Amino acid sequence: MSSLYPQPAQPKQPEQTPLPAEPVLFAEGIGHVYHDGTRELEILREVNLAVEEGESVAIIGRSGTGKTTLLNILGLLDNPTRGQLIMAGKNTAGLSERERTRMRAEHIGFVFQQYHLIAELNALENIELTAGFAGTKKIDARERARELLDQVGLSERATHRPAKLSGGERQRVAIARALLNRPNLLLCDEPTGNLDPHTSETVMNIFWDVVRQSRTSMILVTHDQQVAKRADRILTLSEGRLQ
Amino acid sequence: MIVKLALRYALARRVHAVAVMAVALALTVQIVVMAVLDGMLVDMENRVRDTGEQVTFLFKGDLLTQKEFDRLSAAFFSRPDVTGLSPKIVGLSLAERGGWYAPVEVHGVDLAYEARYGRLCSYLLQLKLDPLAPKWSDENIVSSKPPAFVSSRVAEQLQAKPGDEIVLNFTSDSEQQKIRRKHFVITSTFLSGNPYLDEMGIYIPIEEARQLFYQTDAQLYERVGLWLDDPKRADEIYQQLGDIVLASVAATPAREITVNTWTQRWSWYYESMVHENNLQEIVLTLMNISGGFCVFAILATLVAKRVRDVGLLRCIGATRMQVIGIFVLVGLMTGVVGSALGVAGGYFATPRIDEWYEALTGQPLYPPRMFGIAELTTVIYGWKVAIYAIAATLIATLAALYPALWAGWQEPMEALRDE
Repeated sequence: MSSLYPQPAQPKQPEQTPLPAEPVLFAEGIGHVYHDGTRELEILREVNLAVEEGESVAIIGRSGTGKTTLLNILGLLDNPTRGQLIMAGKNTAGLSERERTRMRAEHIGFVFQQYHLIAELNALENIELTAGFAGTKKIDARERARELLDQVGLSERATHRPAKLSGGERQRVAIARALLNRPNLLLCDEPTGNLDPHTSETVMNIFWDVVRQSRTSMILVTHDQQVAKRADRILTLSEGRLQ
Repeated sequence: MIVKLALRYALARRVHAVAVMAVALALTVQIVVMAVLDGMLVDMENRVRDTGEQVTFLFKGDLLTQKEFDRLSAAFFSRPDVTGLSPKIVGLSLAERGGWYAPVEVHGVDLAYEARYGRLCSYLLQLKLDPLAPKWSDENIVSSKPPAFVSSRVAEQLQAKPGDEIVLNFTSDSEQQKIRRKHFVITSTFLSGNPYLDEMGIYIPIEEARQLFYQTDAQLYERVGLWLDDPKRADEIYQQLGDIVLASVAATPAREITVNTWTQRWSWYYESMVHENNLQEIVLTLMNISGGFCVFAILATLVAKRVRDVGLLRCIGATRMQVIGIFVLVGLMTGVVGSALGVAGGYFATPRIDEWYEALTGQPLYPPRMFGIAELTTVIYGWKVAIYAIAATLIATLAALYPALWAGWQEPMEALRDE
């Protein structure tokens, strides 16, 4: 039998909000000291950084402030003197060198100022290069490489070696290479440093399009304010700290 | 990708071809030189074997009588592996002609047996004479003196030529003051390629030798030489042949029977040649190792120029071992290609080496009169070539190891910053 009396109103349950996704990268208290003979040089003091999936972070700072050192640590190419770094859910502190190398292959893409393409491989082969180290099947890698080459607008240059490519074209190939294995995180060290302003603009337009489409998180070190302001966040590295 | 990268690096620079050529050249030289030396060894073995009997029984004290010799011959010829038999009397003498002297080893031979079974002078040179038959009774040389077939080097020492007379002198131990002399006419000269024979050899009829050395006309034999169907088996069967001798010939208190084979007689010479060949192998292998240093230098340069690539590869996920593997593979490819070219070069050059040498210097590699050979024999052993090629490949691969290890241990970011 239903009640004749009005039932007291039930309190409204709050909506279940989804838990925030784990950050792609979580760095806490990162410090790094260089030993130069008897001298010690503290380059990084207390760097804290969390990067979410699909987020882009630009790091700016004067020369010598430790931007490249920070990038090396975040890229598992160097060990911090203190602090912890968690990437793809793993604390990198206890990893062996082989495990760190594996993580780089599977989770991190690099874009350098100097492009660093292998002169003896053509554009397509340079892009595919990363596949072998991540264990990607050859056929899948070839397909993905072609797709990326198309995205960066260089389909017709697939068989050209770096010597036949302009600076901007080489950097586009390098970007495609960095994205081949669908990394969680892209680390870019002055990607437009060697390009003239016009080429830089062209390359960065393509770059942001491709990265945003792939929802890859990115940490970008740059002096170029025009490049930095495209990022979701701009941080300044100063006196060993990110601000 | 590692193999592809190694291949691209190997093909990238022309200077790398120098590394390949270093391996190839060292291997070609090794094959050619050893083919010539091994050929000389085989040639020498053949000459030594074919210019004398393979097994010799010597009867000292009481010589073999004709009856004993006939019994022994019949017993030897009952074996299918005995293809020839030569009765002989051999002794040392001093040859003389007009104030010129030469120490000689006199071989008294039965012409009938030599004509049927002897294979003296298989490697005749220059005059290309049939050894004995025509010249023993050369109608151009008319003389009452018995004939002598003389080594051309002995003839040179005596300043003699065919048609000249010589005297053979002999003194026995028991008649020390008495010199027996016999006169002969040189009917022909020979150059057999057998070094000992060519230095001292003279052939005379056996009956003349009996008179010279034993002062007798009786049908007596001092030695019996046997020819075998397979001379290489001489060391294996000489004891069985010895049993035949003991069964066929009476043992007397004064008789001493000894036996030797051609390998035992010539072991000192053969072993010296083998020793020389072995030394050459060592020298040539050291030369190959030197070629390895060339590979090392070129690969070290290659790695030094690729330091940034190494940095990149490590950044994008290559392990140290993978980086090392790339450059070791380059070394391996250098070794394989260099070895292949070296083997091809060796096989191509070996049969032509004498011709090229003569075109360059005006005389053959081994002048006939100096070495007693009609033409150069070369022998390439396939198993030796395989060992040389494997060794050359291994040396090139090992030469790449240090530069490869250096590359593998580079820190990625430092490598990327390399100028």
